[in-house]
Amino acid sequence: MNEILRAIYSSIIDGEQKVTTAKVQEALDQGTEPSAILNEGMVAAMAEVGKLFEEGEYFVPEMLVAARAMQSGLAMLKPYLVKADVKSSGKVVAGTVKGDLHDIGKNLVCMMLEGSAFEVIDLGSDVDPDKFVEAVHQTNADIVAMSALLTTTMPNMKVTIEALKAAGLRDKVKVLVGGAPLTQQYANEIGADGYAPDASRAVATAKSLIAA
Amino acid sequence: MFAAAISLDITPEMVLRGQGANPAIITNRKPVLLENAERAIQEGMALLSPKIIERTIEVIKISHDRIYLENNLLIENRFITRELSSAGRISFIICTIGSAIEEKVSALYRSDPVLSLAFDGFGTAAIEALAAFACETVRIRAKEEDLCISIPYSPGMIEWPLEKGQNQIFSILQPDPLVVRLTPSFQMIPKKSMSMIIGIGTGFNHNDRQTCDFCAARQTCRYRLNRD
Ligand code: B12
Repeated sequence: MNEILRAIYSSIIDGEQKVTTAKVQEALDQGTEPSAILNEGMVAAMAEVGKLFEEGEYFVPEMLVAARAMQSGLAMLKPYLVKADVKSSGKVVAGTVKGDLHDIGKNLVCMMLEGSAFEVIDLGSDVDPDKFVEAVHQTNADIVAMSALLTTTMPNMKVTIEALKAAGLRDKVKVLVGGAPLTQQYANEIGADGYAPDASRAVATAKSLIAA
Repeated sequence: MFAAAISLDITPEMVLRGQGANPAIITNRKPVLLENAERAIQEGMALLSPKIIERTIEVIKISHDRIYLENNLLIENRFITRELSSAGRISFIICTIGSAIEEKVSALYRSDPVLSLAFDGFGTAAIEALAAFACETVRIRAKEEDLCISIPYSPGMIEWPLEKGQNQIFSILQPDPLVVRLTPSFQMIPKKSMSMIIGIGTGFNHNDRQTCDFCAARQTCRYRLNRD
């Protein structure tokens, strides 16, 4: 990795937003490939941040600080990525299921997915099954990511999966689920395609679902 | 409602813990997060509208899975019955800090998610401090009669299903829905609210137990690990 990409990489890990934007500008001015800035500088940095979180070294607010730095760099890069026709990793429709107002975990998952070059359509919290269906239909999403933090709202994940089936969309989209009271076993029972216990592993699982 | 004036002392460490972080580590590594925590306290205190709804009810009789209370009230749960088998009275509590903090959290989320999380952590710290204040008030009142109290038990704990427990507590306390209400999926609104019951009697010794002992996530929960 060259010096400027290395500087972008470490500024994101350290969450130094101003340094990130300055270095991205510098890289662009030097004529560095936008896709190299994205993949070697930014996506690689967010992967490292996710790994540190998974290991218990980084805490939730630190992930947000890093994601904020990444996003400000990404905003500068976007027009160049469009021009160079750089494709996203995949399209994800995300939300917390109906009846559930918890959003911190879902927000973190969305940020980490964006940090991994996924395009994320965030429907917010307390999302009706029909709204998930409509969004999948309209956006042609590759993945539906659902979050639930309460045992009383977890069943709405299954309801949403059923709604996708009824709309004839279940075969066109992968279903990824997560949230504190969930387990892999529960995910299997409701017929989801993937489960992840935290935001970093959510990215890895999303990637493997796209590759499958 | 409690007669005692509510006093809440919230430190930056509590706000950092409320965000799932270890204060000692994070303060050195990311000083900006400490600044945000301090700012959340400074601006957040005025947004709190803490309320405690409490009622203490006499126990009439206890079977293996039921606690019969005065006024024909009943708690039906084997785990709670076992835990509170020596209670002469039970205190039912709902507390909330109101919705202004969560409105602030939502308003800030798009423009500054990091500060938004600091306010969320402040809200979590405040509701936990309020719940602790409520427990302490019940303890002091019990002590005046030479009684002691159990640890607090909350619906949603491992052996007390959320739907059952929330229905029981809300039907007993019947809080003003403008203060706190229950959604059809048993989530309380405002979000920063907690519900619990505490046994009052002679046989409680809580040196050997903590509320977290009864949580499914006790091995992995960072909120617990950061507290130890
Ligand atoms: C802080 C907290 C609170 C705070 C506020 C929560 C908030 N943020 O506003 C307060 C103190 C107010 C609170 C209150 C209550 N809480 Co609470 N709370 C928690 C706690 C400790 C952390 C939640 C949190 O914010 N985590 C931070 C985020 C980052 O983590 P996360 O949401 O889990 O998301 C991560 C993963 O799950 C995953 N993920 C999440 N979504 C998705 C989606 C996908 C697709 C994928 C792949 C991954 C994924 O990735 C995320 C990032 O790594 C959890 C226990 C825990 N350790 O998780 C209990 C917990 C959620 N609470 C619980 C309970 C029971 C309650 C109460 C009902 C207690 C009571 N009777 O009063 C009340 C209810 C409040 C209400 N309004 O109704 C239970 C719920 C269990 C159940 N039976 O449903 C939990 C699980 C604790 C437990 N095991 O008992 N709570």
